[in-house]
Amino acid sequence: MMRQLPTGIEGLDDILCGGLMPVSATLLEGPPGCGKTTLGIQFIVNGIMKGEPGLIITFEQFAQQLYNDAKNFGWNLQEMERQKKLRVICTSPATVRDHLLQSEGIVHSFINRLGIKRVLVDSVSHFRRVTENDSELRELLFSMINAFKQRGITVALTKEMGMKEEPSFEEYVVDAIVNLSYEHVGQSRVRTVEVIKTRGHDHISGKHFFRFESSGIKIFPANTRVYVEDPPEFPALIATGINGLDRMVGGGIIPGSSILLCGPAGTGKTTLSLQSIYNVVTKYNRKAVLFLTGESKESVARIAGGFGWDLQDLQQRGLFRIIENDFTKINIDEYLIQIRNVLQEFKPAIVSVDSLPAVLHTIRDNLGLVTEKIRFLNNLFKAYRCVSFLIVRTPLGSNRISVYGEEEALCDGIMILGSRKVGQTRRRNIEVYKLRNQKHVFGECGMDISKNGIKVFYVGKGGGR
Amino acid sequence: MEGYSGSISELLNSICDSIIKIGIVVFFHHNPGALDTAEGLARWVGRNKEEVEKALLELSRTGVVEAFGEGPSTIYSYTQDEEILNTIDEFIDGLSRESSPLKKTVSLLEGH
Repeated sequence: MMRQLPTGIEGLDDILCGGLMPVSATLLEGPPGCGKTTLGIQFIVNGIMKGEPGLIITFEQFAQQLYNDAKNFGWNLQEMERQKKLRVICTSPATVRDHLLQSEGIVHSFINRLGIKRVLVDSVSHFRRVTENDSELRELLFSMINAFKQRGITVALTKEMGMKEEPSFEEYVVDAIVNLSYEHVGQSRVRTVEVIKTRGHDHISGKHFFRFESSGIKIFPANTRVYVEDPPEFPALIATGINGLDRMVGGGIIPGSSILLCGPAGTGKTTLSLQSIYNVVTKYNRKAVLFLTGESKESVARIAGGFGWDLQDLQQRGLFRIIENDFTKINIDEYLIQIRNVLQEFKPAIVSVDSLPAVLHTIRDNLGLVTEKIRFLNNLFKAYRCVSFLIVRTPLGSNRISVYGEEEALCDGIMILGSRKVGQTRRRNIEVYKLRNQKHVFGECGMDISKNGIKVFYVGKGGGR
Repeated sequence: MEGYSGSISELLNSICDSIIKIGIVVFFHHNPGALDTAEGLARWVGRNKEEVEKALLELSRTGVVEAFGEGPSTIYSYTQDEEILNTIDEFIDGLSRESSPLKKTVSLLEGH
C-alpha cells in the first residue's frame, strides 16, 4: 500500500487518516474568502519545510498579494523563492494550456530545475476564460493534472463555488475533494472543512470547524475516533472521598465513566464536584481538572473557600487545573480539542465540566450536533480513563434530568440532587439513578451540606441494582 | 539618467520613455515569477494588449524581459540577469522615495 503524504496542516491529516495520496490531485473548493488559497499555500509551505520544493500558479492574485498574505502566517515566500525552493507564477489559463502541456514548455523547465514536488493552482475556475464548453474544460483539467502527475507531483487546485452547488466535472477528475464553507452555528458564523471524497484511502466524514491562527489554518477534528497510546493507570475504582456516596456506588466510580450530575439550582452540584476533586487530589494524590464555562473561577474559589478547600494550593502543587472559557464565545470543536489536549498532557483522574449546557450553548439549536459532541466528549473521558462529572441544572419542580434528553442515554451514570420540603424545613437528597457496569443503591438517600461539605446519609453495604 | 553609468543609463532611458513600460517593469519587479503572453500581461497590468505587446518587444530587446516562442503565443518572463535586476531594484526603490517626482506615478502603477 502507498504511504500517504501528510499535508502538515494541523487537524487535516487526522481527517484524511494520514494525509493525501502522493502524486494525486486534490480540489479545495468553497465560497470566496473561506480560506482555500491559504490552505493551498500552507500545503506548499509545509512541503518546502520537508524538503519538497513547490510551485504556485495564480490566475488572479498578484504574487505580491500572496507574499503579503503569507507573511501574516509567518511564511516568507520571497525568501523561499530566493532559496530556489518555490516559484510563484502569475499567468493565465491559456498560457498554462499552451505551454504547460508541452513537454519542453517553460513551466516544465521550472519544474525540472527546482525539482518541484507540490503544486498549487489557484484557481481552476479561471479555466472558463479559455472555454465555456464543459467537455473541453474537463479535458483541459484532466490533461493538466496528468502533466503534473507524470512528473511525480502532488497537486492542489482551488475552485470557487457557491454555498449550494451541484457537483461539477472538476469533482470527477480529482482524487480528493476538500470543501470549505461558512456555517451559522447559533448566533455566530464559523468556518468548516469537510472531506467529500478520497481515492485510495479512508477519511473521517462530517464537518469540522477550523480557524485562522498566526501559523496558518488549524482544524479542530472533533468527530474523529479517540485513540490513546498510553492511557493513564488508575485503580479499579476512583473514590470521591464522600463516604456515604462512595458506599452507595460500591466504593468508587470506574475510571472513564461520565456522570451526569443534575438537579435544580442550589442543590449542591458544584459543591459535590469540588469536594470530589479536592478529595481525589488531597487524599489520593491524583490530578484533577475543572472545566468552567457557566461558573466563574472567582465564584468557584469562593464556594470552595467556604468549606476550607484551598484550590490555589492544589494548583500550586501542580495537581489541579482550572480551565475557564466564556460560554458565549465557545467554538465547540475547538473547546473539545482543548479538553483533549489537557487530558493528554495532564492525565487527570477526575474532571468536572461546569456546566454541560453552557459548553453546548452555541450548538443548542442542532440536536444532532449536540448528540455528536456529547458522544465525543464521553469518548474522550473514556479514552483517558478519567471520571467526569458533567453538571446540568434542571428547572425546579420539573421531572427533567437533562436539557436535551440525549445526555441521559449517552452518559454512563446519572446522579440526581434535589431537596424536598418537610414541614417548615427543606431536606436535601441524592439519588444514583444510573451507573453503568456498577452495582449501586437504588433510590434516594438523605444528604446535607455543612461547613465541612457534603455528607451523604447512607450506612448500608451498597449494591442493590 | 543622471548618476548612472553609460549602459545602465541607457537601459533606464529605454524603460522611462513610456509609462506602459514602467508599468510592466514595476509589475515584474513585484511579481518576478510572472509568466504570460502579451494578452495575459495586458490583463495583469490593466492595459491595452497592443500597447503592451509593443512595450514587451522593446523590453525584450534591452534584456529586461525574456521572450519564449513566437507570434501571439509568445510568453514573457522577467529577466534572470542579476545586473539588470539589481539596477531595476535600485531604480524602483529610488522612484518610490518621498523625494522622487515620479513617486505618485509609481504608487499608481503599484495600485496604492
